[in-house]
Amino acid sequence: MIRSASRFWTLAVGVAALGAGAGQVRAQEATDLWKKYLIHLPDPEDIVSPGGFFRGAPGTNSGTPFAFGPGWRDAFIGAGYQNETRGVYNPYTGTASPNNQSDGSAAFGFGLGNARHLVALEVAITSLSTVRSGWFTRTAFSFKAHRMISSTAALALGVENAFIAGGQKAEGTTSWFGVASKVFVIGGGGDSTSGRALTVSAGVGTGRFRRPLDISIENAALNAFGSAALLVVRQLSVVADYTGQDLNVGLSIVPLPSFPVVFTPTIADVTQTASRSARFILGVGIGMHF
Amino acid sequence: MTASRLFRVTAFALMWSPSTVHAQAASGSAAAEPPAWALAGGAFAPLPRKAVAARALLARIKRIETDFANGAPQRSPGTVQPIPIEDVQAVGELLSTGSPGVQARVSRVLQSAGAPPSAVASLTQALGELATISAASASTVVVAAATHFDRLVTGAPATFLRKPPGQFLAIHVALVAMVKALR
Repeated sequence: MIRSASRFWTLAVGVAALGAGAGQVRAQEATDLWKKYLIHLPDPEDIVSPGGFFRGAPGTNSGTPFAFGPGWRDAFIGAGYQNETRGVYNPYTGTASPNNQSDGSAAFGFGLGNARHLVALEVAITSLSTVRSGWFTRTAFSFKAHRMISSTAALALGVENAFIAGGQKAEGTTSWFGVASKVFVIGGGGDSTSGRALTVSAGVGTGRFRRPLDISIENAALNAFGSAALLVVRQLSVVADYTGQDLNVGLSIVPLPSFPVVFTPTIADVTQTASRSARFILGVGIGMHF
Repeated sequence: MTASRLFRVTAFALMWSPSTVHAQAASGSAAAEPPAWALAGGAFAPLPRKAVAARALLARIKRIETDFANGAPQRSPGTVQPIPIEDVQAVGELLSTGSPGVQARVSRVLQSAGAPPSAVASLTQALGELATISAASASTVVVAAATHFDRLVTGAPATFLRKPPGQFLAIHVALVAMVKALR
């Protein structure tokens, strides 16, 4: 009797094991078949980079860095013009002298690496000199290492004007910075099909990001900067920048979707805290992916 | 120029022309405020999908529909076999016309091969809606159709998935291409 009970349990366990094994096989087969045909949908909150050869997207900054940038096979070219350069800030009276003459610069750059997978490096080469003293008479090299921590957020460390070739003047202060940026999709239930977005950046930096007082007394201090840009429609964003010294407000416009050169007219120092009067700045740029 | 050298030049210049140097330093770079490269760099910010490519997505979907309706050769990524042209055309007709008659024909084929009727009905209806999409609705409709397709796959018996009908394979190819266009 005992022996037959033992046989029964042995048989039952064996049958159960076979059943479980068959179940596993069926589950494995189902998984394999599903893998063949299931369509992997993009994350509803996923955000894409502007496609095509020309990266026609309105800008998100007018005077400060942000944490997104070009990667491998991305390049850009741009130019900046200001109708007046800033006057001299007097730390003792807290006032500024009249602004100086107009000025401009031109730049091109490219990316290396992959910000989504590891890290990318943006290399920017700027001609600080233009028509008056000749193109690339003074050339500044700037770098930014950036990494996307999600499809909507990034961190970056960089240095503006890391070194200057042909420097004849003390123009182009070396400025180190760290910055974080985040894109918030607005409306449409928060998914990425609404078309509107708010891009916010915040960081700290040295050099040109210092307060006017620290600059005037040559105090090597850190200071905060930040920006916010609202993408209103596909071809227009409104931008506000705090550079650490003054507040800039502007628009970034892509007039032609078929040839998406980006124009960014900006009024710099609207509060006139760091210069005697507000100044007009115009940036023109275009990004490419090849 | 190194930072220390720049500092020395700045200090030297300060002795002779403090106002100029203050002007340059206060603006960071007189010639580059804002830095020209920063303006162009804005183009590399990620953007909401609709802001980037709604019209391009619509054009891509319409091209896929036309290719299928014209019987362009298609190969299943699941079986790696060519899909019969008549099956490709049937799916193309469903995608481009959305007509109830075509929906019913495709439904019959899938159901007779063993697919669950409710999942088939949802899928063919979603595919029919692709015929009338606009740029604004394109991504939503594609995602809905792909979601219904995935539900059919997970709800279908293994016998169906082991040897699926050509129209199922054609739907798979079309939706994979459309979802790819979303990215």
